[in-house]
Amino acid sequence: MAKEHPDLRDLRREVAQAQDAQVRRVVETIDAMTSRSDADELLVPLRPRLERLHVPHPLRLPRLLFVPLDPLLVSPKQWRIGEHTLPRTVIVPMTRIVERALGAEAEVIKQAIRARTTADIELICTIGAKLWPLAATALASSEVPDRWGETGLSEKLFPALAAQVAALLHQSPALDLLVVETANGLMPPDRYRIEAMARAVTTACAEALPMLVILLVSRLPRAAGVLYDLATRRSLMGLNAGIEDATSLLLNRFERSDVLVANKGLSVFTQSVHRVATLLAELDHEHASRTRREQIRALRQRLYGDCQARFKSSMQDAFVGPLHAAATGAPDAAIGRPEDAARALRILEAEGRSIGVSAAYQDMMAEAVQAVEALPPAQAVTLTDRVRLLEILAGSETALAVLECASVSADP
Amino acid sequence: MPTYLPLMANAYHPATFQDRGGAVAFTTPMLAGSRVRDNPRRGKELVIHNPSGDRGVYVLPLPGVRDQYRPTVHDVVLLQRIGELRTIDPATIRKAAWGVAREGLAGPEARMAAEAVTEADRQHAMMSEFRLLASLIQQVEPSSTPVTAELAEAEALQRRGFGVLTRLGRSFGRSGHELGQALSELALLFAPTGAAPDDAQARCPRLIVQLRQTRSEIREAFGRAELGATGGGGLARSIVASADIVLACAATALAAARDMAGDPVTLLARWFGNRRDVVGTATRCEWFLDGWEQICLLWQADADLQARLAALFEMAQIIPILPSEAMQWSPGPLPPTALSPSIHVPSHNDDWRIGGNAVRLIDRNERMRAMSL
Repeated sequence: MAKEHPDLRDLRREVAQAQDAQVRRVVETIDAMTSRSDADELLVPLRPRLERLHVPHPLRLPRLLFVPLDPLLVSPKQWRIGEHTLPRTVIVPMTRIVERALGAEAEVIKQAIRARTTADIELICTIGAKLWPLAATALASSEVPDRWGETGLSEKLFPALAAQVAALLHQSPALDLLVVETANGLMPPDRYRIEAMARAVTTACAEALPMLVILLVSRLPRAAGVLYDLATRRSLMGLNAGIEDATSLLLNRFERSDVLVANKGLSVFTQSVHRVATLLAELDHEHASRTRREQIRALRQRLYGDCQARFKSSMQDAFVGPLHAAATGAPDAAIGRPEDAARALRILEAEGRSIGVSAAYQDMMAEAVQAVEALPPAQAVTLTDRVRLLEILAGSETALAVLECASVSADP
Repeated sequence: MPTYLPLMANAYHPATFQDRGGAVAFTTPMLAGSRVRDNPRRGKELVIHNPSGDRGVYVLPLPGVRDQYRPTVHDVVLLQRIGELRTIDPATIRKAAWGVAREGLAGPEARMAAEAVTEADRQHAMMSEFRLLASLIQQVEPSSTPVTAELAEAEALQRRGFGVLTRLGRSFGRSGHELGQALSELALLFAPTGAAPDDAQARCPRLIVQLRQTRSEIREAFGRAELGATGGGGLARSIVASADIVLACAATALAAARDMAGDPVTLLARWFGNRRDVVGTATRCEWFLDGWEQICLLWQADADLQARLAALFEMAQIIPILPSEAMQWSPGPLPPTALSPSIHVPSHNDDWRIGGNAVRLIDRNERMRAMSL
């Protein structure tokens, strides 16, 4: 592999330290380039942040094709044989294979995704459901493409990588539906469908099984428990090793990352905490190895600390401050802001309690409640506003006590 | 201390709509799809789906709900108001619910919606009265100048109406004032269906349009092979099948109510002769549609298909069961599944609607309140 240019190294360092807004601009600029070549390298240190920043990218055929495999994609430098990941450099040559195989259909897809972004989840799922299985068939029967050399990988690696990608793309529509159907948490992940996916991948390309596990638990953390249970079956013996490899990769990623969860808005933070907490809880399975469980415990401790720190800072910045502004009737200070913040804090508290000691949150919640109770009577924040805030922060019985007390004192 | 009545598993087949109870727009996630009914012996009760999502319902006295489910402040106040109601039906429950929302207990958006709905209801009742009066004048004085039920013509309409009511009162053996009073009561009663055959603004026709649209969107979304083959696809087909039955019944009931309103002289005679029969015909459509608005709103709360697919499981859990008396009112024979739906969405636990998830769902339910008709 060619030696890195010193200017590029310096630029990458600078980009890595950029503010969130600057990062967004860098991504937009690189996304707009027709040939990204070395520019892609600038994004390497930013990738963990990009996920947390939820930066939408323009939707193009290569991106649409590899969207379902995103948790597996790593930079060519990070990629190692047997680590159950995919180097990003395979995206372009593999997309060319698929494009050629699709013929006119590829043009139809390109038209359909023109001017759309990765935020168009519904479009991705709809078109992807047709594209991914077709792409899988094309890749499974393909020879080494002409410009495979551009990937920097040996030609010998192509059949194995193509088979892995094909096996996973075949299962992508099924995985998508599984994720969507369980999104509200009402239904548990369907054990039979997960088993069917695992069996299909084992038959098509057993080496891709750990990758399937990574995809499943990254998108549907609650699938981890089902996978552990399935792994006890003799007919799915390979699954155990797959889970171990996948768990190792995911936990190591967390360990290497500076921050475990999105550090954006409070509600994005709480969603991110929920995902990570669920994933860690599911991976902390009785069948997991002792080393893994200790690693998970350490990560939970870190997550617990992050939650507490965020709760403390947000209570002042997002709740108490805006609440006082609303109470003084300051312009642009509506009660909606502290109410949204109270809701996010309450959700964060519930997540925090599920991870660690709940006493710390009791004290912090009490502080928030006190902030509402200590408000001077002001028309800008009505009794109903206070009751609603107390309901969110301390529960309906506390709020009802205030409401009933006010009704009694209002009676002649 | 109020206690649970036994779980009525499998055997839950309400005989009448009153037995089934009226749907309540609760914001507490655990109370989704539950109904309130008036039991002549035990007083007002909450009929709530089996929390496991399986067959059957629980029935508990209204005062026990606060202890058992820790409802939101909005729901506690709403339950108090419902407890004070003399009659339990979709209209009285709806009025009580908007009253609580108007106090802001379901959030500022729902408060604004409540104010708008209250004003719209007032306008509809007024229009309904004008239409009944105009129709009555036309019926009694067919050769006179045609009358229009326009707000701008209100004064002239009332003046002519007073004369007609006085003359008609003689044949009824009642005063014109009594007839006027009866007409006002009938106007309120027929406001949800609309007193004119083409009234598209009344609540019932709008609910029918809303349900038709939801049904079509579900069909369109799940007509696609990849979605149709999933568990969600099965639920979608069941929801559409139930919606089809209710839509046919509601359309027939709406036509019957409008037919009755279209002949105000006979209507007044029946009102003085058999008030119960008139109320039954006028409110039949509302009873059929009762509980379906919540299902439509769950679908419409998010335009994203993925969110809708997830919402499908919640929708399926709260599909209203039809009582046996629906068979008398249905335009055709009802399939057995209409009275005992085969859809069951067992919930593996309540994690999805307690703790932090409850906070999210209450927020969504409050936004849904603001979208209600």
